[in-house]
Amino acid sequence: MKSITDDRNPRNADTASDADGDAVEQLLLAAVGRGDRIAFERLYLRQHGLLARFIARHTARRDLIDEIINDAFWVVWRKAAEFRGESKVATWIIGIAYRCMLKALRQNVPSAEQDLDEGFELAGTESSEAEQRELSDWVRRGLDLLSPEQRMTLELAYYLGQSCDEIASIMNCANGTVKARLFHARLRLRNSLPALGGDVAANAPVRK
Amino acid sequence: MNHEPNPHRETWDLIPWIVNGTATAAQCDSVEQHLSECADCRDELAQQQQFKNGMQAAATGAFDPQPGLQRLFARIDAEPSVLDSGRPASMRGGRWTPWLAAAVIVQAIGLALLVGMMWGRPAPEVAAQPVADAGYRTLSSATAQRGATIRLVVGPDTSLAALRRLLGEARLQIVESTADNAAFGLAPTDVSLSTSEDRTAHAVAWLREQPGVLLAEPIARPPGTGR
Ligand SMILES: [Zn+2]
Repeated sequence: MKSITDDRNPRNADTASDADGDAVEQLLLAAVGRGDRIAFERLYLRQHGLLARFIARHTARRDLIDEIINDAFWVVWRKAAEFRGESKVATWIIGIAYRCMLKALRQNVPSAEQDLDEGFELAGTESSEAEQRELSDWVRRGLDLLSPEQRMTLELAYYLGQSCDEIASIMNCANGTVKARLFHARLRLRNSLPALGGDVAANAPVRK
Repeated sequence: MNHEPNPHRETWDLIPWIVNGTATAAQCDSVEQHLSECADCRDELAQQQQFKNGMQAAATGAFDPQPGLQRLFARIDAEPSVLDSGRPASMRGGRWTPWLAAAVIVQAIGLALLVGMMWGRPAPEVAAQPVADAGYRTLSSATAQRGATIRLVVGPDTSLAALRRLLGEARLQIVESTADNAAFGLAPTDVSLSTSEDRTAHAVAWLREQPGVLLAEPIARPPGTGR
């Protein structure tokens, strides 16, 4: 019988390439620390897409997204030589971008409700566009149920694939805080978000 | 909270890390064991898996990184010197002590990185040029007037303490650095000695004998400057 956890660990499946990716980024960052612009460009291009989409979850303003990424990489350029490998390079950069984003969002409070999907293509050609739309609506309704901290924690975990320890370091909080935020976020989703393509009754309230 | 093992609660807590692939093998094993006997946790796992997939699918817009990157390079170019900012203004104003400045440089860039910066690039800055040329960034206008007399590059294994000892014995201080921190400009700590070419030649010869020194050379000074 097929193991139930077999196909839900995309990162476990390519742990080697994940580690290789970090090794490459460590080399790139070391070169950036020596003022190497080509390495800097490569590191920027490696991280840009994911960071842009992560930040785009919090603001629809392209100019602000650009500004946050550039503020973050400005810090990367200047601090690269100080990196001591205490985390993955990607986690280090995400942490910097996270702080730049919080600062930028504080200074640019949105005046109106934003459509975060504006300007974005939906991924995948295998499932129909309607299915994709339904899925992303479902996720958005779920995220709307959560506090900002819960939403951010979930995004760092599910969107950026960061571990519990990594999220604690990015958000500068205790490991237990990360766990508690996720626990309560999921309780909320479990109890208030109807199942995808179903109804609330399909989800029994969680046992404690 | 719970002092007794509670596989249901433990599994529940581990589900996000199973979903995002950051759980350890041991955690995967223990979760799997509980899942086989708990429909509730299986449902939760399925929902979280779906939620994660949905989050990843919802934001896959394409951004062209190049315009932002070019703006960032322009911003980097506009910065006068990596060394100049991030330091208190008092250290740019001439009130700094020589060793404090050297320590700042070394801490800022890391000694181990100095040499790597040196190789593999043309060295126009290291050619015999007046120190006021564009290749050099002064750390302090006050000391810049005195001018560096010796150019120094140390090896990656040279510690701050070793560099400090080296310069202390030679009675030299760091007064300048290349913009990319590849080389330091040194000047005598005692201003009255700065006019002595003999002393400079002697200090260069001595520096070259020291372990860790990759390059030590006098800086040619155009007539009428720095004397
Ligand atoms: Zn259970």
